[in-house]
Amino acid sequence: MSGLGIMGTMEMARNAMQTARQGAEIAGHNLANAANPIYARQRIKIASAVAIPTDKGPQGSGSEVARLEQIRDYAIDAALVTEKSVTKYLETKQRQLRRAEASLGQTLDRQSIDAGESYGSYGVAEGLSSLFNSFQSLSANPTSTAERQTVIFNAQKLADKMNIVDRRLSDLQKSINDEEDYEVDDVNAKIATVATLAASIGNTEIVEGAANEIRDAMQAALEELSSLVNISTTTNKDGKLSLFVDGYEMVTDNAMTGSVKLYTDSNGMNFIADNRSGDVLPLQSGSVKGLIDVRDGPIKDLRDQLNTLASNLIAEVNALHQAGFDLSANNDSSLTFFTGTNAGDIGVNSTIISDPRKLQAASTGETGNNSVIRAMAEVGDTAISGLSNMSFSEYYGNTVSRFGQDVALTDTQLIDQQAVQTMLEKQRDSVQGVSIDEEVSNLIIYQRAFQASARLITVMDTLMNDILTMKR
Amino acid sequence: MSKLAERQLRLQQQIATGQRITTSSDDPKAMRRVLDLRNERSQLTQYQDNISTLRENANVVYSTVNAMKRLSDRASEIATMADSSKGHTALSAYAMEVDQLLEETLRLSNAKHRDVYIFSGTKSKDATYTATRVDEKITGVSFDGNSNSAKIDIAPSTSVDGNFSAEGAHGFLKNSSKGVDFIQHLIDLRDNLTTSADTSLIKDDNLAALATIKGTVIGNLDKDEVNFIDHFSSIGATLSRLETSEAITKSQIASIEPLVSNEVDVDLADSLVRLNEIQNAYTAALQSGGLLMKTSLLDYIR
Repeated sequence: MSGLGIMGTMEMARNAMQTARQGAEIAGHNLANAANPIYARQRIKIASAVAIPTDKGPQGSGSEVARLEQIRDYAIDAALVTEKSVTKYLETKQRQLRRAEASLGQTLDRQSIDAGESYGSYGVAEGLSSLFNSFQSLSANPTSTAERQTVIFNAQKLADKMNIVDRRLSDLQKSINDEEDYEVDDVNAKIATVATLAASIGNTEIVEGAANEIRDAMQAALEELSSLVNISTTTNKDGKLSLFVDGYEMVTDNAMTGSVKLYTDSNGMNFIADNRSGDVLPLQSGSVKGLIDVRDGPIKDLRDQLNTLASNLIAEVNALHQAGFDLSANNDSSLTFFTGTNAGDIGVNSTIISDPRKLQAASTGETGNNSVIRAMAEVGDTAISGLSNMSFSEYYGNTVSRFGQDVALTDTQLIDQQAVQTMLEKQRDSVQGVSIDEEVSNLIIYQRAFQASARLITVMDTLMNDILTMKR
Repeated sequence: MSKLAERQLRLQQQIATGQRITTSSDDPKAMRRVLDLRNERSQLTQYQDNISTLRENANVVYSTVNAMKRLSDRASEIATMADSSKGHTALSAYAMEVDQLLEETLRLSNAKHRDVYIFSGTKSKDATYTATRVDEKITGVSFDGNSNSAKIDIAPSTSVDGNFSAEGAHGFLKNSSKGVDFIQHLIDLRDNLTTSADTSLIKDDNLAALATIKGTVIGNLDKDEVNFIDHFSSIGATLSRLETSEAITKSQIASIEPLVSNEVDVDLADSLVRLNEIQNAYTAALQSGGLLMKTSLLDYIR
């Protein structure tokens, strides 16, 4: 006799049923993870069972599950790790720039009608206009205490606005600085997670085959870490992983060998440094880089420019004021109009606030003389060398516009970057994402295969029964 | 769908506020232009306020000088009427009336507007004249103001004088180069009338006083009147200039508004159409998403 025989055929059907069952199980597993974004779909690799030699030649003996496969495109995974880092960098930058833009408080609101202004909420631009206009108004009525009060009121309002904007921006810088501190712990925790997962993959794959689920977790961990700092990985010939943060090795052959630490410079600014060498990581992308770039870039520039504006305003107005005469025909060359040195501490001299008559608007002891206050009004239109030969309003307009360009540019870059990331995610989904229709199709195939194998057993059972009943 | 939802939100915000841009990041260049335009508009509005102040002051001075001219007219009339045909009583009454005209002139020359002496030049907190009196009658005045004037801007690099002075090259009441000295001439008239009416004096002295009125005082009063008329012209010219400047400034302000509108305001018709299109696209995306999920091979598993 040759071939499998009835019992052998039943055994082959039983194996086929097991294969179909396992296939249905994997399809179910895929379906269960259809909404899991980091999951890479799996499939069973079915192979023909070993052929049995017969006198007629080798005869097939059914099928068996050769192995479980995970459908993963490692090139796309690596690209996504990089791109997500850039996306997070831009997202962080955009979020902080939006906060800074709100802190600046320079908006257009044509529906609100403020006293004296036809449109717009009160920002530094409106403050400058109001101040120089009130100087002009006082020049037309130099003896009017009401006009003097208006000058003082507008100057205080502008000074308060500058103080508030500077404090908000300073608070924002501090909050970003503090955020750097928290990020250090987060980066180290994620490096540790990557090292642990790498070791688990190594241990699992030595004894149990592909560590599919752990590889999913590893990809997720790498993407999370890259959203903080730019990373790169290498795998040696034994499949052991090394991880580098901005070129500094943190994981060597599946073991955590490095970490990052907080570095605070002499100005109190926080940075991330390599724990071993102490080198500050320059970083290329990730949220940490986004925080540092915004803190030391546009927000610092904005504060510097506001300080330049305020210090020049203080210097120009005070120089004229100190040479003037008050309503009592007295000159006090030490009496400044503004106090302070920058946007953070600019204020109106309390002597003038308590007695507006002391505002030194005249160039002589004549009370109706308006030369000084008129010169102060003209300062508003004068090109100031300390402001790159721009007037105060031009300089501020330029500052606002430049900052707006930073925000708008980041918005555009983020839109482009998100398009790249979305495209890559779609590519990854098309390769390793779970298609419900495909899995259900597979489920039907396995169901039918299972039914067919079960039928084969029924047929063989019938044959066996026929054999057993032949003697009667 | 999330992109469509974001675009919908943006358009809805624009339609609700009527503005295309609110912050500088919406359109940095436009924001810069709008800030410049708003600053220009604000400056022009201030120039308009300055013009209003100057016009107000000029009108006050005009009406005060007009009142002075009426006094001058009456003084000239009295000077013309006073002759030897009038009796002592009449001449005495004329002298008393001129004395009242003098008092009124002093009051008008010390006129204040908004707590400022209008004829004191830039010494505007000082009374224009302090009278010297003998037996309560004004015998002379001392000028406490000055002939200086503050320049007030009415447009970029354009200014006009903001102060008026009773004396000096443009004095309303006294201008030595033109022989104008209204108060002194009124004192002269009053004193000569008093002399002419004084019965204790000899007739010749009475007649000599009347002759002085005819020979000198009337001529001087004519010079004062011409000076007043000159100032009417001058104030009228200033008011005309201010009106022209105000009209120009108004039209400049009006021309800025459309420019701001072009930069900031949203085209409602266009935005509503775009919103409608995006809402349709959003609805279609929702429906197609629903259809995709509606039919599945799951329906065919038995």
